[in-house]
Amino acid sequence: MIELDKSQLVEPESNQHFKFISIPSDLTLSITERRKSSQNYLDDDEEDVKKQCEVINQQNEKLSKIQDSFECIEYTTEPGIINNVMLSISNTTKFSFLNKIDSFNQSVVEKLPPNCNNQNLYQMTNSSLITGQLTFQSRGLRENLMQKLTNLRYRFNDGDLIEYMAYPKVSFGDSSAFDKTAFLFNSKYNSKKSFNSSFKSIIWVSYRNNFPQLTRNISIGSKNYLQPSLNDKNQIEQKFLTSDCGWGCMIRCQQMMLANALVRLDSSYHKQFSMNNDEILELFLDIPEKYFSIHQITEEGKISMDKQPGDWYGVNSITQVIKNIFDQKSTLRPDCPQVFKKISFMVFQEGAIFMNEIKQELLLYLDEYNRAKTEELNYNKKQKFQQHSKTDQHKKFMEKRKLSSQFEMIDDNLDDVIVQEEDSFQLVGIESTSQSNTLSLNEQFSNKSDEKSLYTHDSDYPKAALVVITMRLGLNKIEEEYFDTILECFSLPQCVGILGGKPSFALYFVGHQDKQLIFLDPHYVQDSLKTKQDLQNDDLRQTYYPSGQAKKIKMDGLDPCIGVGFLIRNSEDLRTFEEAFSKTGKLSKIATLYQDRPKDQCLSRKLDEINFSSDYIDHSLL
Amino acid sequence: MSKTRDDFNFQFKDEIAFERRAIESEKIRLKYDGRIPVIIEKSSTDQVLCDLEQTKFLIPGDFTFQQFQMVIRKRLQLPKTHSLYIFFHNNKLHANEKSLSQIYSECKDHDGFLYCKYASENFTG
Repeated sequence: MIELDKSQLVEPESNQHFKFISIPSDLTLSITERRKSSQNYLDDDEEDVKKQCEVINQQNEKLSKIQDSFECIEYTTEPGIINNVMLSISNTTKFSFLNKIDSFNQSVVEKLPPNCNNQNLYQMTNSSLITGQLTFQSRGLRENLMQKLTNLRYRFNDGDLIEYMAYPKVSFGDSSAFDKTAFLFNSKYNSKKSFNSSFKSIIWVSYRNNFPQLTRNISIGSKNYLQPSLNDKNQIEQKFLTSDCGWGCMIRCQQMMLANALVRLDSSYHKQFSMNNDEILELFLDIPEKYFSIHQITEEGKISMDKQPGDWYGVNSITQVIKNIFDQKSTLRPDCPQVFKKISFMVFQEGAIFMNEIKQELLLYLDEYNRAKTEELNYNKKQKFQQHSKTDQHKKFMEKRKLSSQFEMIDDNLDDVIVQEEDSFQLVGIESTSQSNTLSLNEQFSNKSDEKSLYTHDSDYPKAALVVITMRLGLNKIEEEYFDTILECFSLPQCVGILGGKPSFALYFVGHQDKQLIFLDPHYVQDSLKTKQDLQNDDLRQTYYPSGQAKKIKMDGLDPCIGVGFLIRNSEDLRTFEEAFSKTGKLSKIATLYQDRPKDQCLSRKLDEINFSSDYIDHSLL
Repeated sequence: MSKTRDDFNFQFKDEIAFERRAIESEKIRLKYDGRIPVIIEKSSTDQVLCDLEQTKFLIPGDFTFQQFQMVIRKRLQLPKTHSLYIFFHNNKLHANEKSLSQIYSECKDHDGFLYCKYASENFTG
């Protein structure tokens, strides 16, 4: 084995960065030791194995710390840290993982001189040997390293390299009585085979590289919302990103939720919605033209959330961005893309659900759908209805839409909002009566535009709704009290997964086993697909489906901010959803259901009347 | 990585001795009947929100939790699309319509103040 010259490791200067950024200088050492342990494990007898396991447990903590710090290398400019990272890579590849790590590392390793030092590595990475011909042709050394480390970590987590470090697998073995069943969404599985086939059909979106570049303008970004580590003095004004490695994981998780919701929509008996999985995947290709590509999402993020490409998103901010994309694209014009005709996207933040807003959204299209149906009927009966101008309807519809979207954008002035809200309600009422006047033949259709029709509509709604509820279930971690309720979410057939993760590590949860959540991890860099034709290629297409075995994670280390998605397709879905979040429902602990957004006219008055601060400043203790 | 309850520290508590705080809260409760003395500080882990200028509030006891949230929202000038979460000492969620006096009886500190931390969402990358 190669002796590691410890003097080569440079201690990162303190104070210059936040503490979690620095790569511990003993990274290589611990990995080496680990490797030794695992080798011995195979050879030695049982008592030694126990000892080895103890050693490994001790190291686990250290290594998890190291793993956490991988995320931040992108933003590190300090040479000491980069040196350490490069040494780490060179050593890890030399020691152990050679045959498992992809061609990039292999060719690096082959070309490394026997006793390579930092200088060599720098030269190596900058030379054409590496930049020209290898898997990762991205721009800088740092991006390269970042991507390598990310994939290395993924493999650690996956258990591909060393099993002890991995997250527990979803298993159906007889080792534990609890292991016998697992849930994916609301389906229960008893055998590995059936579980795996379902698991592998879930769409997995991961980091990609080499996509058309995104421009990050740091000077524009509001400092408030930036990751603090990005504000260091070394930053450059403009940066071009061709990979989302290190910052896009929340975006990827949201893409996963959306993609899988679309698949669900398709596989249900939603006949008008004819999109196969390939067409769905196409929406997520990493090119600027696609509606849900990382380009469009970050573009919208710039506008609505003041985030530049490269900034981190949270559960709520990403859902707000997606909602805006939907709001802009969704019209009833014939050129409206198919996907926006068939599904709408709604966000409720802070765990407060407003049922009437969901109903309004669903009604809007049901109404239109019914009218179209009526029109069709009438067309056959009376020629004059042919004149019933479609464009007129669209105009009316757009007006309605405009109005209904107005009460999303509530301003500080609460009274205003209420007026608008009432207006839009009235407008719906007026219109439906005027409809019934003109189309008296089919009164039952025009009557349908009230709330009840949502519950009596016997087939799927013409437009489904994907509802994401974002919440925070604790200050720094998810409170234990809510664990069971989170698992309960999956008992609803409407649930399309949960957005969440560990701190700085977003994951998409799709099921659970033994009180642990089964997740899909986007932290793996793959080459981006850019054309429809790429999806025809089976191998390339397969990069959108999970490759390894399903893993699960304990809930006590998770970030408290989560977003739960529900797909509402028909009256049954609506009823189940409403019931689950009602006061006595099984999910009432994590979110509360209200009929209307509060109309607190009294609240605003009260606020003005009471001047808290002056009251208290007089009696201030300080 | 994530600290739990240790994080529920308040500058207010560090600066003023318990006895003084207890006396003061007593005084306030007597003088302002029906008002809840609330100390609110930003969670140390939050990266989004700014600090409140005023961390001490006297809130009418019949205010709902939601109204209290609105007060803080206004103070922070938080856009509608951003989330605000307020946690009291047990880190539990509270229903929006719960009154502050009810929360006070559940979560008040020994010194007679109601302490809470506010935070927006975490960025998970």
